Amino acid sequence: MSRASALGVVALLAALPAWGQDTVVVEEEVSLRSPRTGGIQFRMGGYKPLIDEEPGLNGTPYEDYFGGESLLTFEVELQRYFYQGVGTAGVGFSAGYGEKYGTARLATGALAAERTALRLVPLAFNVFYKFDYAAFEWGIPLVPYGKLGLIYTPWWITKGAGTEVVDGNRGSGGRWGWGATGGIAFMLDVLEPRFARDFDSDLGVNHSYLFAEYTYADVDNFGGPGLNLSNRRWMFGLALDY
Amino acid sequence: MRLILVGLLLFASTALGQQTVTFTASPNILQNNRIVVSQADCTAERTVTWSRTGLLCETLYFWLSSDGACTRAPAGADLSLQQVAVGDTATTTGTLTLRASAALEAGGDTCESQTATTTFRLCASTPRVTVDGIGNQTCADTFSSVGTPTIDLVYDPEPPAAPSAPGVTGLDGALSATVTVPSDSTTMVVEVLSLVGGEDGGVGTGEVVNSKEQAVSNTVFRLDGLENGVEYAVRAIAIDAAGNRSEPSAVTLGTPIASEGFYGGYLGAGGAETGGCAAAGGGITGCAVLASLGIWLSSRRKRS
Repeated sequence: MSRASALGVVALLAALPAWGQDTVVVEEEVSLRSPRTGGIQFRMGGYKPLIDEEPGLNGTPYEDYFGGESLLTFEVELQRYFYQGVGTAGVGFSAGYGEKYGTARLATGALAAERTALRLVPLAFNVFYKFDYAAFEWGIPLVPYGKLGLIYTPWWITKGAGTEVVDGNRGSGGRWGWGATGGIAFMLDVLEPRFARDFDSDLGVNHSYLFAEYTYADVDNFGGPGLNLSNRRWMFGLALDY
Repeated sequence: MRLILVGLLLFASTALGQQTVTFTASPNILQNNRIVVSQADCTAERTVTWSRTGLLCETLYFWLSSDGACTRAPAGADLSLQQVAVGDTATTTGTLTLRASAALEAGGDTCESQTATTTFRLCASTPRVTVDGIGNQTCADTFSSVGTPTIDLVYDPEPPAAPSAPGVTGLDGALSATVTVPSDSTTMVVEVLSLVGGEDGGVGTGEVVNSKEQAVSNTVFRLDGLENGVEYAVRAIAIDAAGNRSEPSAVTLGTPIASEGFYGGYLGAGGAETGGCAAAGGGITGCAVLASLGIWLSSRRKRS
């Protein structure tokens, strides 16, 4: 073997280990999404209490004083998710405020110079489920949901400068009840996906929705006597997952 | 670069030489940089404190100007209050006592003879000193006003014009009065007077049974504690910043009248709701929720 051939064999042998090395590229998937633990809803709508449907009432005072119109109500609901799989389930607490003004009446029935108002603070503790699996997995941006809740609604009635008192009875109190809500939310992420991602990475808001929901609520101390603050109402608003 | 540094040095040196006097007074007497006094308070003393910075090349004068100009030394009808001599570096703060009567006397007037509103300006004036980059001081030939803010002592012996008769509406156990505000007024008073029969068979006004004072920004008064079905006389009085009270307006008669709010209408229709904490469904629990809500709302108000 000539010297040149020997050098060629040595070079070949030296190169062999390099051929045997595997080139492994490990691609780790790094999620840019923040954890999703709860939600917040802001909503508004009309709240028309079924006061005139109280058993034994021989008139329609709500209709007479407020023209049968609804209280404009704003509510905020904080939600905590305890299940995220095929949909999302959790508990929520909501609080709101609504008021309606009318004109007080003289003994003759004529309109007085003073205003009277019914004011409510609807409070509710809900359990809920929303079917957002289709939105996350299949890209369908509609999320139906339902809620079932215990309701407590403090109320007070004013006339002129303060709470109205009639024959020693003060016009304020609170009523218990229950309510069921069904709604559908439109996931806004599909309109501006990039903006939605920025919203998540910058502020921790995973998803945002516009929603409409219908509530059936019986707020009459579970059939007890007194003011019937039951209502059937639509509300509309904005929801954020965080 | 060197030019910029020299410029900055010169600018800083000039600033170092600036004299400034800062006036301060209690908000009780100073409103919108005006100290307004009525004839009744003409001889009353009003105190303003001052503090100063900067070099003096001439006497610093504190004085009340009769014509509103502060770019001179006090003269003739002006009232001198205090002076700080050149070289007095120890006196950097002081107190000035202002009396409208003294300011008027300096001009030959008295509290009684002066029947129109007069304004005197509180001045601090001295020639300005400028210091150049190498430390040379130059004293200006003329006086400058070095006091801030501009404070006026206003002697106002004139009460506002009497307001027109208020508009009156009967409420439940109360009257609502709407007033028109004369110019120069800062506060309005509405008085409710009882009506009494005279010996001649006529009706006149008796004692004031209720009154309320509000700033002129709120022209609607609610006067509570009145008896339904009883006629009352209502009148308005205007008050200016000096505390001068106008003549009362003509009276307007009004009668409180019982009315029913929604709760009264509901109970009248046979509603069973008795209201109150005991009616907060759930008994003790409801009361607790209401109490918690009340406490929370109260605590929120206290914080803000």
